[in-house]
Amino acid sequence: MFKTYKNSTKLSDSTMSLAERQASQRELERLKKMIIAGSDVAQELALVIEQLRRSASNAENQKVFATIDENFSWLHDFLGQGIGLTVGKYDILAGNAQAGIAYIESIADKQLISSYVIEPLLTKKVDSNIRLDNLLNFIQLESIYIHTTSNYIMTKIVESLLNGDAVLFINGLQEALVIGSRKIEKRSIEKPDNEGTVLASLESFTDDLETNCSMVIKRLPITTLCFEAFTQGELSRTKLKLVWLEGIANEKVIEEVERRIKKINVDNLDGVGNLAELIEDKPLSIFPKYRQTQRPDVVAKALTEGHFAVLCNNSPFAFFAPITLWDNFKTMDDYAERVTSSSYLRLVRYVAFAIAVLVSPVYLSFVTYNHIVVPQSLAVNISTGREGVPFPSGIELVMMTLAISIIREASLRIPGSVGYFIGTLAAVVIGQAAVTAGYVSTSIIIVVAVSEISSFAISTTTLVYTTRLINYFFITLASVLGMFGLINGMIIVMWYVVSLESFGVPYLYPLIPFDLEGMKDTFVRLAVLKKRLRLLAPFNRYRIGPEGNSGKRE
Amino acid sequence: MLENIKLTREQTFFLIFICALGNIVYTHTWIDDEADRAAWVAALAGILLVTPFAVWMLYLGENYPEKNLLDIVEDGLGKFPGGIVSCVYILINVAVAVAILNLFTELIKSVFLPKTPVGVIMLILVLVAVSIISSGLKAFSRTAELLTGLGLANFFFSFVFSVPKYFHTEYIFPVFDTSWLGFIKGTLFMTGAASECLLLIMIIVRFIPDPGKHCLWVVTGLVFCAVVFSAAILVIMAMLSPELAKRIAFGGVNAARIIQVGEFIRGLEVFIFITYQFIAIGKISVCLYCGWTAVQKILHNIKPWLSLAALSSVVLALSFWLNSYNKAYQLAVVLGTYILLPFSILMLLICTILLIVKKKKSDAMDS
Repeated sequence: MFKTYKNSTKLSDSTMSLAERQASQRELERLKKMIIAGSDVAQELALVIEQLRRSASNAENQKVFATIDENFSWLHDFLGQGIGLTVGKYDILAGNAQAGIAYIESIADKQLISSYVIEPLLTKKVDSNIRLDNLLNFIQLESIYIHTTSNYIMTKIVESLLNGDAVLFINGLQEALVIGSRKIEKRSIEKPDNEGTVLASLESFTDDLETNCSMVIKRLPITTLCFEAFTQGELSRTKLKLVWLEGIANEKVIEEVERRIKKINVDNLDGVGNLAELIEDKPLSIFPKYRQTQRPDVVAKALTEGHFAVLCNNSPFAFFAPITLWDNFKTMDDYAERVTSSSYLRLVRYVAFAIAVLVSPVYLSFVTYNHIVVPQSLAVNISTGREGVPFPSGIELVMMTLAISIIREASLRIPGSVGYFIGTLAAVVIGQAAVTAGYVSTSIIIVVAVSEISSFAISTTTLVYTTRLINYFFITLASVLGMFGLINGMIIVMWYVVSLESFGVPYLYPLIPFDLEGMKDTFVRLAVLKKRLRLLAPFNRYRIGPEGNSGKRE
Repeated sequence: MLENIKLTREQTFFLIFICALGNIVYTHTWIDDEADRAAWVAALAGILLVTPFAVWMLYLGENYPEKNLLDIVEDGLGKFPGGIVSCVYILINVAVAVAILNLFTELIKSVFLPKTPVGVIMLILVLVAVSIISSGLKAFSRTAELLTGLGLANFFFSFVFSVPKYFHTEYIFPVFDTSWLGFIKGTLFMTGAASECLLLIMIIVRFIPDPGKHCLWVVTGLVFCAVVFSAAILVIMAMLSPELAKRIAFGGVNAARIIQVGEFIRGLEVFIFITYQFIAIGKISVCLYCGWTAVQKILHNIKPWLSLAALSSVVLALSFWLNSYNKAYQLAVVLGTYILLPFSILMLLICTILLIVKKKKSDAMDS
């Protein structure tokens, strides 16, 4: 750099006039001064940063003060006034000591603090000769009968306050008692709205992690049910639990999931969907490689089959993996109904999936390229319906499919009964008006409606959106190249699906790779499986079988 | 892209099945003239005759674990002769791919998309095939498994509608109303044409676990292919008559075209076409995969994606250049009659001699 500068100066010497040279010298001087001034500013900034760092580290290691007032004042400074910190000083244990209680009003249980902390402390008597350092022990053992821990680092105490705990300071003691007083606002256990069943359980997960865990434990009250807790999210500090059945789930998969969860480094983790996206293999894939569910019975069943599940605080859903494509077509009703009925219903779901994906592109390819397939009477009806429609069939189909998706999204967002009203208005009235006005043909409305309704017969919501995306892809190919394009699209989708894996399990398993035992509960449900799937639970495959064999490791 | 995978029984079975089908889907009319009503028997016997060669290859693979036949030749004869053999292998695969690409494109053009330029259709087919093999043999073999199963189900389900009305037993019997010479010529042609599958076995023998022990995986694939293909010829002949069957191309599509049950079941050629497309894409993918493996071997695995792109471009360019159903048909017949089986036998002989030499050397070392 320096050499270049020197060379350029020499060159300028030969070309510049004297006045220009002086001007450039002045400019150079000015730049030098600015650089010197800049380095001074940088030094000052470094000093300020160092001071800030020290003060931050001091705050991190700040111990509990000896006086209650100092503690209260520090907490007020640290948390600010707006958070709702409530403090109070009391002469406790018949006037033998002075205590201060602090808690955040919105998240702590005031009734509990008043009845089970302050009242016993005020009424309880203590030997006046008790030493100050034994006082906290006495209070823990004799006065307060709820969960308490002692702590002497102020930042830790602040964390506890933010979790809803109350903190008890004693004048003269540089240690505080953290009292579990979190006010838990819980939704009651409700019916699973998104996964309705007729004969199966009517419980669904809530937003509370512990309640959700209790629902799983209720269904699998065994010692091999394992939970591993994690806290992730720099800002959200979201609690989550990895659940699996020891001896059944593939331990390598569990280790890998643990590793991936520990590796997560995000500021906000707001639910299981977000979490699953962070730990799955190909997050951009259009096919779901995990299944979200709000049903504890589904999770319990999945665990017994060798899957793992993850429960997350503030999320009424759990997800389980590894899954295959076929898991998206199973419901708990399949196992509550008779074998024949459940097999029939499952086949209906597969047919619905095929219709959702294929009916509109097949219609398009038949009416635009391969007319021979369409019977004469039907062809006449279709062409009569299309009379006066200004758009080609392909454009018409894309427009209507998009319109239906918009109506569905809009009716989901519009609150309550208005949503149903708007949905009906849009679908029936506008649809009818569009046909009458000649903007779209009747047959297109029928095809799009059948496709859209069929997509909702699939058991998981995530796959519903997948069907819509594939549908658009197929419509595009069919409109450009007819049946040839559509078949190419099908081949590409099939190739894509077979190359997918969910935590090491091929996505089309047990069809590909083929596993006869697994096929008994894939397209139809023939019987209760005697063995678990080879790739899901490789070391413990017997579910039922010869006496004494059940549950044994192979 | 060197892979370290092991094929499953089903994957091997379906890969062999789809690979043995290939060009014979179109060139079977060549034997209809010679074998006449016994064409389906000749097809059955012809494909079954490939079995000993396939088993021979698996036996060689058993003795050279983790190696394909091209590796064995190179190790035994040296780099330069091995390279020449690999080049010939690549050329044969390119020729097979060019033939099937032209044959299938002509089918689409004459029946479904008469106004679409041939180049567009060929380009799409090659792109799909390249996509499939680009993700490796594991995904490709799984795709082949799925596509073959669906294609077969589709083919026979469509022809179920023909059974009561269009199936004429008088077109089938008497079966052996032909000369022995004609029958033998037909059978031998079928053996040569179905030898396309030997090109794949030369490569995948490395990926079949314990190939000698699992030779039944390949044998059942070939037997199944023989039964299915001869059944397809039988159905086509029973519907169209042997005289018509040997004179028209795309027998399956044309046979399906005449099926009409009531007002609503018609135009089944559109559905039969699905099976043809599955076979064409599967076969083009197999040829590209085999050729790509050999190219990588010659180039020592340098820039595999570039070599795949180059190979597929060559296939595409030659297909554009050929651009004729008749020439492609002739090419397929020449390949089936004079090239595929002789080349496979030559490879087998070289590898066997190398094996014997190797065993003698090791015996001498031991003694």
